[in-house]
Amino acid sequence: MSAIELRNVTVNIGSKQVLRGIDLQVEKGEFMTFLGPSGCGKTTLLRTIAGLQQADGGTIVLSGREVANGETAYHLDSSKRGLNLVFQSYALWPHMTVFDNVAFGLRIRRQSKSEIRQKVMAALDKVRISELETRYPGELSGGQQQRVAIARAIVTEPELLLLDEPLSNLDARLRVEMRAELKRLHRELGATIIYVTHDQQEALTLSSRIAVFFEGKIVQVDRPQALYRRPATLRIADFFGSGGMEMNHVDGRILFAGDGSLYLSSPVCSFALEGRLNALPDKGMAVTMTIKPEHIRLQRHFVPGAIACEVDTVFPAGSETTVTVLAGGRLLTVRLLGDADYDRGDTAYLLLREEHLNLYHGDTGELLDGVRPASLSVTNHASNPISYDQNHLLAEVPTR
Amino acid sequence: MSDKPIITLSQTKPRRIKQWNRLYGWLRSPVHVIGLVGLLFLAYTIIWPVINILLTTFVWKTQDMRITAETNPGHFTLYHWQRVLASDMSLSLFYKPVLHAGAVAFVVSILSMLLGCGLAWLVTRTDLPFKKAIAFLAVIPYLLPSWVIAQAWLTFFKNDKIGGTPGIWQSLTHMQTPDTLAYGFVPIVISLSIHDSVYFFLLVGAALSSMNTQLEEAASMNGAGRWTIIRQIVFPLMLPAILSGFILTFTRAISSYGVPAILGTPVDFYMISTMLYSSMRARLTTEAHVLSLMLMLISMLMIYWNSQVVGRQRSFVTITGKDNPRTLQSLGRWRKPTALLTIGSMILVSVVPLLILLVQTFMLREGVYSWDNLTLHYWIGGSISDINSGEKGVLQNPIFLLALRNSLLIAAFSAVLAALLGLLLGYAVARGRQTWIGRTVDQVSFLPYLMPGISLSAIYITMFARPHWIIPALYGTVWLIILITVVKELPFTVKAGGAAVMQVGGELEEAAQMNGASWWTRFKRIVLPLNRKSLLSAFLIVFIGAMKETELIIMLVTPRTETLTTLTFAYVEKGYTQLTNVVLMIMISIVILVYALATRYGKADLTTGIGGQ
Ligand SMILES: Nc1ncnc2c1ncn2[C@@H]1O[C@H](COP(=O)(O)OP(=O)(O)OP(=O)(O)O)[C@@H](O)[C@H]1O
Ligand SMILES: [Mg+2]
Repeated sequence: MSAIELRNVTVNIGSKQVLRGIDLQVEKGEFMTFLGPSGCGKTTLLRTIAGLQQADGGTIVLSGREVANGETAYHLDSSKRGLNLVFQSYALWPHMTVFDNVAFGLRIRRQSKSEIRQKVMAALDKVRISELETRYPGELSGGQQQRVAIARAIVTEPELLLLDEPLSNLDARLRVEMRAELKRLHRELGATIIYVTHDQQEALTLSSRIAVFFEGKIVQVDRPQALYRRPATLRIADFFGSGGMEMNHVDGRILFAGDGSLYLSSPVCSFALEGRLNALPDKGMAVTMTIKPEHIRLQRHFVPGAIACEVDTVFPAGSETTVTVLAGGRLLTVRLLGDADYDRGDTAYLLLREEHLNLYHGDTGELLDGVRPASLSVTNHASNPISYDQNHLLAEVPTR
Repeated sequence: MSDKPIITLSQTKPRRIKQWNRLYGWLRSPVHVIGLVGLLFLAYTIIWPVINILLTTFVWKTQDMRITAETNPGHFTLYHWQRVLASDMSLSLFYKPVLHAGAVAFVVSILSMLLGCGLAWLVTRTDLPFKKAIAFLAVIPYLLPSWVIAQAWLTFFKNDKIGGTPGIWQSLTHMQTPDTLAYGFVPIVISLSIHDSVYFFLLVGAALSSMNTQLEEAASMNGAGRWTIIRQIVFPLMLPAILSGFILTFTRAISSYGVPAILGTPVDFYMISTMLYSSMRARLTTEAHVLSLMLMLISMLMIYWNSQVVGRQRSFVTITGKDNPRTLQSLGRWRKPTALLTIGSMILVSVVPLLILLVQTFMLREGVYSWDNLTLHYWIGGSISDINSGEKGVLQNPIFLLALRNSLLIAAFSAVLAALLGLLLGYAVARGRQTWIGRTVDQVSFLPYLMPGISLSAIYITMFARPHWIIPALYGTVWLIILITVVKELPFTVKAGGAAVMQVGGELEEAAQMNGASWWTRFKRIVLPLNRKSLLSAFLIVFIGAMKETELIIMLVTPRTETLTTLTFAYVEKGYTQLTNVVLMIMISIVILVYALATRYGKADLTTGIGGQ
């Protein structure tokens, strides 16, 4: 039995359709992250699961119990859904102390004084702020407030914990610290957690699975590694590339060699393809090749298969260095560990890690699944990549 | 064919379930329930009465028989409207009073604006000394019924015209005060302006103090001169506050009753409200209703105009709520003289009148200034037949004790009820902004604002004279007075309540909901405590309003429901000056005491109560 089952959930706010048919299944004990750009409907879906927002269509089943049904307009009150929500804004009650904030839910449930005391202190211990019990929210730092909000949500031991961008208001250091705490909490509580963020780093570090949203629709649900390696569309790939991880794009074409084998040809490089080639159309089609900066190696000396390039700009950032280079007239971003001793104008050589190359359909932007470079076939096209001319290449590779 | 019913059954059932679930879900939302109950209450207490009297003005009544033979009771007629608007009576019954009222209201609004804004600027934006004292003095006139100033004016400037003892001025200088100075337009405008400038002072003051001075500094960095800054930056940002002050003052002034009754009637200077009152007394009820409707119409036009102007402006009233570091305007060498002048004139208008009235209470005979004329008779004396026809000293007088009890009862009950109702309806308005019901409550609760107090009470007399439906005959009980006070104050309390609830983010409540709190628990544990200050401010506003209310209840009181204001007013009409002043003194002490307690211990703030930020 899944912890959450969403079937074709739609939600309208005003005249706008904010959620456009969400299907999703979350297993018990999972740490599921909703990831997507601002305004795509993550908070809305969270609120719909929590019961703070009515579903206009579709059904929501929590632990085998239907809690909302758009067709019959059925809506179970959020207090009866056995879950709790940590708000983006924390929503701590400013007129109550930390203790009273956390004890609120237990008092509603009319538990005994000693029981309340013991549970509240246990919850505060879990988030490591037991010494703050008598303070008011106004006297706490952002990180402490966030812990209170989490303590308040876990004190009633919900089966399902919903967290809406809880780390977005914290500074970078605290954020990293809190990630570790959240991971630990998930382990200790054993509850199903749904976590909303638009920070892909956070999503990758924390989740057991990630659901990517665009404009009210889930476009991909996958494990972090899979999502990182093989984004299902170019758009997802770009979204993952944002924020200091610029994805490299190279437009190219699939060409048929005389011997019936297939080649990818691009201004930067060309190589033979293998895998599920039958699905490809038989005429030359446009594709986009992507590779992440960290999957390109840069070196000073030529080795077979390396691509010549010219160093454009160097951005040192301590532990790593980002270098942009010109290859085949395209600007590529390369990430290197440690310092890099390059200057503008230097000639260098690129090595692409083939297993991290993805090919996308040029028109639809969808991943060409199962199509990959044949091993060791990546070749350098020109000794002077800057004057590289695509027609020259086309003349070289015979078409059918 | 035979399976047809089965198909219909299987089709209608889900649909029915859906409709049922929809309705159930809708009704379970507290916003909808409160809104719905609130709308019923408003419909019954505001909309229905207005429609009702509108209809009666088009129908012949039996009383009309004594005026004209055409009367055909129960049938449609335009006679009453024609009589008020286009007959040989119209000039004195309608046009002159309208003209007077309009002129008074207009001049009062302008004068109050100048006084109030100037004072607000001095207090919030300059380095004037004694600001606290000035701010306190500025609020005093508001704590008094507006006609107290009129009463003090008369004590000072009264002439032989209406008989009795002449005023202080005449006794001291032995010069006849000219009529124009003693009665009519000039003193009415002055008395009302002194009272109403408080609205501007509070509203504009609040807006000014929350406006970021950096806006002005930025302009001056760009090379704008001081006058340009005021015209182009400060004034546009203040416009909404100024316009609300204007509208508040105008509608209050145009329907004010006490001041024109004291200062206008002796020289036959009628305003609509005084005309309305005397029409009621002359049993020209329908004509009085027509006058009420016209008065409402004028107020509505005024508000409409206001919303036209403010509506376009409101978008950029993004005055930050933070307490900004403020750069104060230095007054330079004018600092001391300005302070002296301000304090001097404020003492003149707020303290001196009170002192004059207080001193008078100890004078056996008015206008005789000698030591042996001093007495405590009017406070504690028994009945002496040749003083005030044997009326006892106030503290000995059972009528006074009754009035005191009634006043306190009415003020306390109305204040509690109005503040709570305001918070509840404000809740529906704030949380239901997106729904039709929230918007409707917002608009309908504003209606009493348009209704001059005296019109509303004219309607309520007819409405509650007899028991109907499940409502007993409220006329003659304090409950009618409480009801009308609550209704009349709704526009303010709902606005204040809505603004306050809006500041308590919806997520605070949803967080409680997630923890399993029912609506009532949420309201009790989250909404109420977080809105304590606003609730107390609303309480204070209504309490003061009810203590000094005259217009609204003067027609509703019966001997059993006499209040302090109506008792004073009755004394005024009989010319029992000292007794009037004694009651006034007691009343004012109560109001000031409550004001001081509420602002000191409850952090209540008048501004939030009258629609400021
Ligand atoms: N109360 C509302 N009224 C109108 N539109 C709304 C409302 N709440 C949300 N929306 C719209 O619904 C869409 C989704 O909003 P939502 O808050 O779910 O986004 P989000 O993914 O959580 O964004 P963020 O990452 O910025 O928090 C947005 O386009 C927003 O404009
Ligand atoms: Mg959000």
